[in-house]
Amino acid sequence: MIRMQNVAKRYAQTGEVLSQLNLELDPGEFVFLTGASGAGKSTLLKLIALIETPSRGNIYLNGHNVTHAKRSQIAKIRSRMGLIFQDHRLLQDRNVFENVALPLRISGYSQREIPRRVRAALDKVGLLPKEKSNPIALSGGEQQRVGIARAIVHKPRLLLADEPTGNLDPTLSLEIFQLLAQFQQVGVTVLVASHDLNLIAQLDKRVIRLEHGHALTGLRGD
Amino acid sequence: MFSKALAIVIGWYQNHLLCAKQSLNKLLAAPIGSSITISMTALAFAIPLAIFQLSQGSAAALNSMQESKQITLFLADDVSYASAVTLTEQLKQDSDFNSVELIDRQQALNDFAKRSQLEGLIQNLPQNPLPHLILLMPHEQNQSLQQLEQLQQRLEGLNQVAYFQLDTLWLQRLQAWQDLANRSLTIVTALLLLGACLILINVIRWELASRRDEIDIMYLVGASDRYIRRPFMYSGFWLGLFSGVFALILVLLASALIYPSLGRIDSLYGSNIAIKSLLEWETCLIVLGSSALIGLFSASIGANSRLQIR
Repeated sequence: MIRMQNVAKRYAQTGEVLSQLNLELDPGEFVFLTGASGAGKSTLLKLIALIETPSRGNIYLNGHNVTHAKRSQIAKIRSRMGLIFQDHRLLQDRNVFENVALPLRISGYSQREIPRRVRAALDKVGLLPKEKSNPIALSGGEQQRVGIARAIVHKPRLLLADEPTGNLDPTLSLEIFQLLAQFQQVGVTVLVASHDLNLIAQLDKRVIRLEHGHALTGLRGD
Repeated sequence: MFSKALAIVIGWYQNHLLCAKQSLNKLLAAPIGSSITISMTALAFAIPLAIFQLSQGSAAALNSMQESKQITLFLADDVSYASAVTLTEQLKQDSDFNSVELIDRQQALNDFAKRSQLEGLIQNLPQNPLPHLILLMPHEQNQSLQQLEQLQQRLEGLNQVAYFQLDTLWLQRLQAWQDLANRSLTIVTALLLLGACLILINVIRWELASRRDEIDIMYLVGASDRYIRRPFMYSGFWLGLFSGVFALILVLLASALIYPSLGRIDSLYGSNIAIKSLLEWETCLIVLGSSALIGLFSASIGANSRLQIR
């Protein structure tokens, strides 16, 4: 699903964040990405989501080299992923329904198709009664679940989450992780960046630890 | 396969409809800001349109002052009445002329005597000092300066003609002024339209800047540049179209105000500037179409400059 080959990322201000990184994720895998803050977790996710381009090396998605994808291709590739952010990144001037519908509108789904899929996604994250609410009126955990509903509404095959539980208490965090784990069961590849090692240990998943810009791969609950 | 393609087309169409509606609602939601923008661009459209309309009217009126284009042939003294008639008949066959009229020297003298009340004096003249005259009116299609000059050359070749009168200098001056007016109008129009474009580009750029967060999120969710740009294109379209409508209203108001003065000019000159200065519906359609296009064009420049589309 994802293959990174000798990838390096260097920023002018902070120097090299990732160096000589090799990584491979199989389709349908659930993988945690850990490491101290500043280890490059977010950068790695941004590289896979094609938000950043690597300074060196190659990135393959589904066997295609996307390292130097064109702007129009990037939009297309990204519209087939689901992205979840620590700060939710919801549109504050639109209600929950419209926020979740965004990826469907972008992909050109018809007006008839959109409500059905949006409600299915909201049902999945348990927020169906809140479809008319504004994000501001929701709690942090609820906002994150709206973010998850938006990320999965168009049934992507790859789900990337960057510190999805960063601002949540342990109980809510576990719920979010378990929710994400459910998508793996229907064949979605899930990559979650998190520094919460206690929680990670509670789920029996593969863990990749980033250290000094390299990936140290452990097999299970490292 | 087919139904999937159809669904995509329907989705695309619905998205356009939604964008058009949302952009319109956004404009209406900020009535003061939108009306200031629309008024500025409308002024930029209205001024050249008004000048153009007025110049159309006066050009038509000037063309209608035909006396100046009448050619007077003074025949030589030794040309007899009979050969004057022959020449007149020849010219009548000529398709270049609309009307040909012979005024023989006796008739001219009688007219002159009557009008000047100098009959006694004129009767005592030893001989008629007046030549035969032929009055020619060139055909409407032949009234441009160049064509008149060609006619002039032909008439100079006739040996019965002593000399003839065609006031091309007057026409030349008129044409020079018209030329100047047209060129100035073109330049003023170009500058004002450029101004209108810059206003719209700026408005769209500001709108984009104020929705930067939203745009970033849309990019993250997989929106293409075209998708992001679409609502702004519609904003530009609506702004341009409304400016065109407002410009037409302004010009109509202005012509209502100056109509009485034009009517007075018309009654004095026997022209019809006032009628010709009224907007025709074709002109209105052209104005609306081009103002909407200018809006679209400006929006695409404004949006692309912010989105840095490659």
